[in-house]
Amino acid sequence: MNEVKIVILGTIAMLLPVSAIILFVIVYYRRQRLQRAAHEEALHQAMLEASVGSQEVVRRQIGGDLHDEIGALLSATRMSLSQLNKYSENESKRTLLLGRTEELLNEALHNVRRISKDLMPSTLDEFGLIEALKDFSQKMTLHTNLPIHFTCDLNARYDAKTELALYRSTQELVNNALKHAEAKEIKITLSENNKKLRLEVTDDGKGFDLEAVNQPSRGIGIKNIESRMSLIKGQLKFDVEIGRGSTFIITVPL
Amino acid sequence: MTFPDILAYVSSLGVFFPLIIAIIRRENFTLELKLMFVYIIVSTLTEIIATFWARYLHSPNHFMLNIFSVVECLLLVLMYREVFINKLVKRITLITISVFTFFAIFNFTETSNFVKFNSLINSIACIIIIICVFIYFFQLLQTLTVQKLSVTPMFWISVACLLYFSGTLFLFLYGETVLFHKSPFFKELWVIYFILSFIFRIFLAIGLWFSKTPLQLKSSSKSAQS
Repeated sequence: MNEVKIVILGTIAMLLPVSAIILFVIVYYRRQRLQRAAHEEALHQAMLEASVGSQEVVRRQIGGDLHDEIGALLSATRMSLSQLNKYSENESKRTLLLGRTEELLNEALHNVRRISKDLMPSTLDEFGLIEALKDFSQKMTLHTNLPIHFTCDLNARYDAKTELALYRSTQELVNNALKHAEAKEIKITLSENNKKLRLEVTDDGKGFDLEAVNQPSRGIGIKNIESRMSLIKGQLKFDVEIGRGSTFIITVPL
Repeated sequence: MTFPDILAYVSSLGVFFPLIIAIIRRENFTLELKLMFVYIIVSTLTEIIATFWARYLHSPNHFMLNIFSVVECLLLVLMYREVFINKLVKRITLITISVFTFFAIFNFTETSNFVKFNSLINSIACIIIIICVFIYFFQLLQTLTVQKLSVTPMFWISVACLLYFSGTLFLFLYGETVLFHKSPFFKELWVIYFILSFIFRIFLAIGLWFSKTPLQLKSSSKSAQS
């Protein structure tokens, strides 16, 4: 056999697999990069949708509250005031109507304060996250008859954005646990570790399937939290499984 | 001692690298890596027996290479069958290896095919393994499930297989003409075989070293990160 022919064949036999491997690695990482970019784009889109969806929910809630509570009270006040003209000469009836109108206005004022407080809790602004979470857990325990324990050894105030994001996320997680988990107890723990603020929300409910939560059609709750976390460079981790309670851990760099 | 002789020794000793790594990491092995472990044990034993056979009995050991090629192909194809996801591919792999094994046994019934170096069987074995490597690479490109190729055992094993079997296929295709020719040039070709063999074993050792820990494999709690 021709020696030159063997050298050529041998060189080709060596170069082909090496080229194939190099080509494979290049194509693999390129495709992986494209897939990651597409995934990030989808996540960004989902967060945007969640944000818009969340705004719509809040607007609908405010609209409903204004219509059902304030609107009804103001209508009643207007009727009460219009009746005052009818009884302009009947002093006792006028006094009664004025008293009722004042009651209606007081109730409307009280409702406006409540709606405003629901939208932006004054405790959070004035006293910070720790006091706001303490207040929130106490009120929720009172309203739901479900023990919601808040544990925190800290005594500090944090960046306003961080405090609001963590407060809203806690509200979201507690509401989720109340609505879907059939929990008997909810624990909220706030701590600091390695220059990171750590918020943990656990419940002893029925848990849920992670795959279901990861579906694009999932509720906006978790997406909302993810969206809030992306703004403050926080991380949301969850340890969940059907049949046992859920644990959500949020860490935010300080 | 000539350079090819030194390389032959180094190459033979190289069989112990993956064996040692496999023994250290055996607790972490998944089924495909367990098959690789069996393959390494078989190749080490063959290497030892073949060396003693040639040196102390002074008789040709080509029949061992023939048997080993069939066993090697069987174990490596079964290993790839474990990592293939597509059921049709798994079935075809099983049929191919069964047909090959029966064909090899049938071919060996003729004494000359068994005693002498069997170029046909060795070449077919190489081609089957190369095809398996390409199917695995294609599967990786389709699924993109591996985050880092450089720490994936099957990637290193596949690179090792592709380099070794492509190189040796070229040598085996010409069989006795090239490998057992008396001319010095053809004798030098053995050097290529020794180098390929050494690289193959080193890459196998790297692959086995990256086998995952049992903790990572058995973790049942699901977690996600935003």
